[in-house]
Amino acid sequence: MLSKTYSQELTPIKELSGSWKFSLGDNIEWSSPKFNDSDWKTITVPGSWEEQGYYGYDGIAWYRKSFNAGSDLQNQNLYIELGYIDDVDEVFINGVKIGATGTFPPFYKTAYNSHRIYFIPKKLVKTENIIAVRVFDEHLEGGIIQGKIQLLKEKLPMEFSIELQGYWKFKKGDDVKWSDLEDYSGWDDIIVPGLWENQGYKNYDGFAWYVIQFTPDESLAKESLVMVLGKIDDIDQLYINGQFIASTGEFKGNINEINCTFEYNEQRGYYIPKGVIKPNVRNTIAVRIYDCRGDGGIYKGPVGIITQDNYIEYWKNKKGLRTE
Amino acid sequence: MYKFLIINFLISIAFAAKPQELERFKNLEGEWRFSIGDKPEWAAKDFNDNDWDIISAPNNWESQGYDGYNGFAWYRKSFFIGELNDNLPIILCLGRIDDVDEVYINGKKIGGSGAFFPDYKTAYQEERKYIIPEEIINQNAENVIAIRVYDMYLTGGIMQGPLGFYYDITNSLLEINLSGTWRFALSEPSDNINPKLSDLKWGNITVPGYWEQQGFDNYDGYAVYYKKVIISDELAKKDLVLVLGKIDDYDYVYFNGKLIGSIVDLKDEGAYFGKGNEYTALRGYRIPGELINAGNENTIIVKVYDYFKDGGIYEGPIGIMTSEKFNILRKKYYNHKNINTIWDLIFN
Repeated sequence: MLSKTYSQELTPIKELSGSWKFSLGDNIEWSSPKFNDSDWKTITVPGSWEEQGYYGYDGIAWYRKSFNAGSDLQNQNLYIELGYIDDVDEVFINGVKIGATGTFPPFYKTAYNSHRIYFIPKKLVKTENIIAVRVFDEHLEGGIIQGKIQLLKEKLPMEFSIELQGYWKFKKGDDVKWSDLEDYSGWDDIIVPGLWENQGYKNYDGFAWYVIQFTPDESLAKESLVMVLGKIDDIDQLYINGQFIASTGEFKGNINEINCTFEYNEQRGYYIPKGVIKPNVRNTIAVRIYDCRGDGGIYKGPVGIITQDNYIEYWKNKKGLRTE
Repeated sequence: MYKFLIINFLISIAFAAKPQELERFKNLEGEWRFSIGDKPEWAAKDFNDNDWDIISAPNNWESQGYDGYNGFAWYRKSFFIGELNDNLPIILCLGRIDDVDEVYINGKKIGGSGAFFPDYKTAYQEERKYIIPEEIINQNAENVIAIRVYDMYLTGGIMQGPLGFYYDITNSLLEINLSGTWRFALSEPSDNINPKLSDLKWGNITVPGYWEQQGFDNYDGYAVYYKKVIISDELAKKDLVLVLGKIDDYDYVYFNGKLIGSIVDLKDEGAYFGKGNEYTALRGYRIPGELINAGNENTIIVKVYDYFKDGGIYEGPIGIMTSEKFNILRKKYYNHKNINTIWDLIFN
């Protein structure tokens, strides 16, 4: 489903299937670009490890692969598609975690039927790069087992002033005071975009809050800005510095009256009134979400703050692309 | 009782009849300049929109290259207007807009429906009709209309026509036009008797128009409208009808202190058109000649009870007509072949 969601917006730029380095076991240092994997075995990706000499192995194993990024791949956001992984995975680029799907033991939750596609922020991409994938398999087939394995780029990137894909703070439950707290350090970390089901909150329906903070300079705070929040499952409200800005779907006092239908499939772009974003101080973006059923969370990008002029340009170009 | 009713109450019924009889003098359908985004300077008459996209209206923007777009967008169009007919009120019809709009002509805001964030309220089901003061339009010159639209989700934009400037020609049948400012007060239920006016807290309201759009958002209940009118000796000799357009929902009409009509009593007599449809009926009440102060001031009091959503005297024509002209009005625009109206009993 995700691949379908993205297929219109992403275009493949580098094939990554084939030979990868592989090791059973588990060591966080294996995520590091400095780690020397020259004595590791090789394995073909995609394909289960059972079929490649590790019959009957259940547990944790790591995959590593390097890729070169020429000038054509640098200075732009990339995506990595890893097909289907059985059961749980965690992905690192140059030692930095960019995403995870499913939950590792002790609170194990499989995600063997989720399609993997992860966002790689452009600041992580260098000339030499190491992808490291930590995989847990509970039983039967395990590994990066099938699907397309490749790097992709956006056909039409948004020219964000502030990119906000990556780690956000997250908390289940609901309290409007959470829109502007002094301190969010006690909250969980969550990756945006990504379903919360895949990040430790399997089967959770109901209220949850996402928060991220940033400090804009004078020139940005003066601009007319739009907060782009991609797609959210199901309904949401945006608060900036405690002030309600806009929403998609209707929040009601009685949760039994909340009705979720097509909101999960709608793109969010909220216009921020001037004066709401304050220069040179910490600003707080808080997204209140109610998930009626099934998957939940800010599950699809792009996410960031863009000037209105760049946003207008983006939609003009998008129309141009479509009518070509 | 029945005899009393047919002499005094004149009501006709319209299910799908056109509310006002409108005659389009400027078509606004077709190509419009369009941009997503939201900037106050886009309302201005001389803003240069040459590099904007062109889309057609009525039609949603999703099917015209903006699939998936939610949020603000503006439409602009320039148009030429010749001489206006001074006697006829001008109505701008913009069909249905999804979800919220605000309309500017030559840079001046002339109306809007729904509410933008933070107090968002959709109006996607409302048919847009805005009364346009004649002085806003430049005659024998170019004019610019700019429409600010917000769409929350699914399809958005100026969705459905017809679009254009119209004359409200029903008003030309009036001897005295009572559209405009009336005195207005909220009141309590009072057994439908003539309310005690001095106890009420009075303000002004524009008639026709929903009170929701005039500072009484979400008010359901009783309210009183009050207006004075001078009827000349000559006019007082004629058989006159007080026309109050359409009212949402119930009305009790007093002329110089006497009840001259109510949709409620009529309903009891069986001349009715379906439960919950009071708001679709044209109100016309004969003014008994002996009640008229000829050559002098007369008072009209309309007590309105709204039990659901929009309320008030919301649609014209509003004023005093001769019974001959009222007959023309209701036959031409409000006749329903399946219903024998009380009028037929009175006039035929």
